[in-house]
Amino acid sequence: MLAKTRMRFSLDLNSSTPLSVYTIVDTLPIEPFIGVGIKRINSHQNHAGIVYREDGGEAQFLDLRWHHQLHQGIAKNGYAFVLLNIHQLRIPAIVGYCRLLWEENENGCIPYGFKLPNECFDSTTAKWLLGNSGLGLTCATFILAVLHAQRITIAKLDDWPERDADNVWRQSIISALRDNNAQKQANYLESENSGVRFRPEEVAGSAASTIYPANFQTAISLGGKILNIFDDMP
Amino acid sequence: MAFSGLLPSQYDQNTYTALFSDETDISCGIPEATINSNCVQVPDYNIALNNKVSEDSKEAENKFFRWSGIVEALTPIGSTFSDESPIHTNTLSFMKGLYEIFESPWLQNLYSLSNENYPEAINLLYKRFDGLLSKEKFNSCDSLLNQVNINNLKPEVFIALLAITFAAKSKLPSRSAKVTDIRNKLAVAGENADEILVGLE
Repeated sequence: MLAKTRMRFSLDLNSSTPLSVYTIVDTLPIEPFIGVGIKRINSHQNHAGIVYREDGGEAQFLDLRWHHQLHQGIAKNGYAFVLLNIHQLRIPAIVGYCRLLWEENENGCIPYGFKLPNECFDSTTAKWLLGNSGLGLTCATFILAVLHAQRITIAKLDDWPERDADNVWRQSIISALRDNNAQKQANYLESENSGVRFRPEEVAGSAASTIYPANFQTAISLGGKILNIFDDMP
Repeated sequence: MAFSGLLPSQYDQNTYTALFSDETDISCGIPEATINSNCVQVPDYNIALNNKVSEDSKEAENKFFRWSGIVEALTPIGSTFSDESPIHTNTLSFMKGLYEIFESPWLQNLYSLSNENYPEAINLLYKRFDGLLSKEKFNSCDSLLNQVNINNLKPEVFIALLAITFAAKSKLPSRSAKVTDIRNKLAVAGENADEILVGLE
């Protein structure tokens, strides 16, 4: 168990408005909020989701865990949480959208894939285009896509570079899909042999930025600082 | 109140099909409405409509004009339409009647929830508008958007209204006026409208 003093970490962002990272759910604000929670799976893989609280409710966690595995439940310890730097009056609309998404997709119809977060909605109806099209999201791009649908852009998408290491990761995902009897989705993803990857820690870092949309370097820097917190966790 | 309506006998089957195509958007924004060969059915109601718009109603500067379609017959359940049935010949009163039957209770519920439990109001709002937009019922969506009185809503709820309708803004003529109203209301309340509405206009 972390000591009380370690439940909330202040990051030096070279800003007059220091942001906080919460590591204990009970220390999250009582008033409505929306943010990003991230946890370390292993040295090569992290996982992120959306943490939020409705007026008077318990903190909830909505995350895309894997192919057709959207999940929502009460937020639990083990994550580092950063809250979005947006006006308080915008929060209930985003929280309500999270609830709508969960209610409409709790049967797990959101596939795992490598699409950009701004390519997942019909430009007119805002309808999710994922369906059986082969499109899909990662845990990180799911967060960006939900926020994008609510007109909150935390990351400067065109600032992200393609990286060689991401192709290795992409192949591991395709293999894992094949191992889990998701051949069709694996085949589709294999046809997309390149692209930009938004890593979970970079999305958390973007969320922690004082200025939106965060550029790549800011996201990397803040994401790294957030991950360092796990070094101090038991 | 419960109503049923059958199409006037002068329309043949082909006319019914034409009248009830998706293009005519005859469900009047009622997401539960289903259409069969000769009438529109909604829970507890059957309504017969056609898509003619009278010159009278065109001239009437009335918010109800946005309804697509004119009620041709609206008679109590248990009776059937005939030329002798008590037909509401005033189109505008039909529109008002439909509004009162279908939209007013929904809006009143929205306004009440907004005051008592605004997350539930947002939930109600999202489901209704998401249902209309997903079916590309832009006329119905715009009608409903036009009816919403933002003065009866908490800021959290009318901001959600802008969020859920943003993607279709080019198809919703009423939205720009609603944005202006909301911006003015926030400014009067001393809020930073620019910050709150970023990305939503």
